[in-house]
Amino acid sequence: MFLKLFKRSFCKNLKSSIVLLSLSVAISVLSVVLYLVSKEISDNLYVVTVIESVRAFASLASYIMCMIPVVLTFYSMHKAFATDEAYLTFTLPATTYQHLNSRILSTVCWTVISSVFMAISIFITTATAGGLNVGGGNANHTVSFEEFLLVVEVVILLLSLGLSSILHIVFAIVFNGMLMTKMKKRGATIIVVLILYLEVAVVGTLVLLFVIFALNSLDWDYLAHWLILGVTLITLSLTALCYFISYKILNRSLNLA
Amino acid sequence: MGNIIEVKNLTKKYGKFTALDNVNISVSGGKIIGLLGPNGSGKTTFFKCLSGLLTYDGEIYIGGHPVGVETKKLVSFLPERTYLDLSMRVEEVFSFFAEFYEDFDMERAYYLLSILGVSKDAKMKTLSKGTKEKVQLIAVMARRALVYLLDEPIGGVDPAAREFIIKTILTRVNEGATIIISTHLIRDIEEILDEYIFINGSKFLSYGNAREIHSQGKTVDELFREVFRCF
Repeated sequence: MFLKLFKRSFCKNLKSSIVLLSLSVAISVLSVVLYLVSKEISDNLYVVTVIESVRAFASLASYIMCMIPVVLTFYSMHKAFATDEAYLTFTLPATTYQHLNSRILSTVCWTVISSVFMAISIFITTATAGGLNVGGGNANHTVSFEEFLLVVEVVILLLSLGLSSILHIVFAIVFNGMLMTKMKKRGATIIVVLILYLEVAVVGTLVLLFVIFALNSLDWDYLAHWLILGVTLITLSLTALCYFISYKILNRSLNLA
Repeated sequence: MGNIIEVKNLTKKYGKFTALDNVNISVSGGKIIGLLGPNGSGKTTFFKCLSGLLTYDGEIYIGGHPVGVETKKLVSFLPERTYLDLSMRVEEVFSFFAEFYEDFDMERAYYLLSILGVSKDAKMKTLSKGTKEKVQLIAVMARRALVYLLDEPIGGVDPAAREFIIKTILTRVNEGATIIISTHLIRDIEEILDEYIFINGSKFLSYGNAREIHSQGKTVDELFREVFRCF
């Protein structure tokens, strides 16, 4: 049943998502072509300005297109959990875990896919248009273990922040959908927004401290690791909390055992 | 035939409001039962408890199982509102039901669809209200379920289709299955009812045999009007 639910939610917007992601890459390629054209006619300042403006908008459009599949997945989840479609969703012979996990997994998958396409778009735009010195730099620099570890830790932190964002939105959808009155729904939205702001404030403060320590060179290697680890643990804890509360709300409201 | 539905001390409250108060009822298989009551009497809440959409106090057993994942395989619920994904085509709706319910009879679904004159390629959002209700009813009744819970199944349907639905769809279910219908169109479904339940203000007032009422020269509709007279 879990696989069926996952397949349904993943494939719900498959066609439109493929079109959008392909378009975003196509727009990035077009942006590179425009760059090459502007290089050829670099003496005509007016045309170059127009071309660069179009490239800027095209890049923005490309990145927005990459985010739309994730938004569509959340929208589908909202419809399935918090509108009349919930009658269909929750009369299916599936448990709370199956409903929640299938939706979360499909959202994570689309987030990863969209991120990959966004990275491809950015790479195409910057690497081939002279904005990124790929293959340049100090050829003699070797990456130390410390630097490698730091990069791995930052990547893990970014992944956990991404997962946390997803679970926060899942929690907001479940919270809103399961509550009966408008006042409680408004309260639910406010609570989720406050939690998000609180997290951003905590993460922002920690990052700021990290930067200050780095600039002051106060044993920043050692502190950097601990700061990143601390932020990652806080983020993962909040992620787990959002999942746990969402599960409890669904169980309390519906007979899904 | 044993009891398919056993309800013991069922109570459902929404905050301070009591929608169902200490309901006790046993329903055997192979019956068509009318769940009748005025607006706000608890009919939909009762259906939601049986179909596993609400938590409650008390016990409910369907086919010997407490309400949960197992009973959802046995119960086919039709809510009174449009609950299907409107971006789907009719054939996609049937594919969805076939994927998640092992007892869905695709052949029967398409047969009923052809009789009611609905195209399988039509998108749900392009259909009229009455046609959407027909598609929903077909999807629910095409399952070979043990219990069918139908909340106002014929309210928005035209009289000709209504007659067909009552005489054909609702009476031709698998042997041993029980249908509980909630409707205000009592006269229309009276002839197919085996039993009736009157519900008012969270309480089940009576559970009787419709045939016995008919043998006394009365109708369930007349009895309903007597019991729930407003003045």
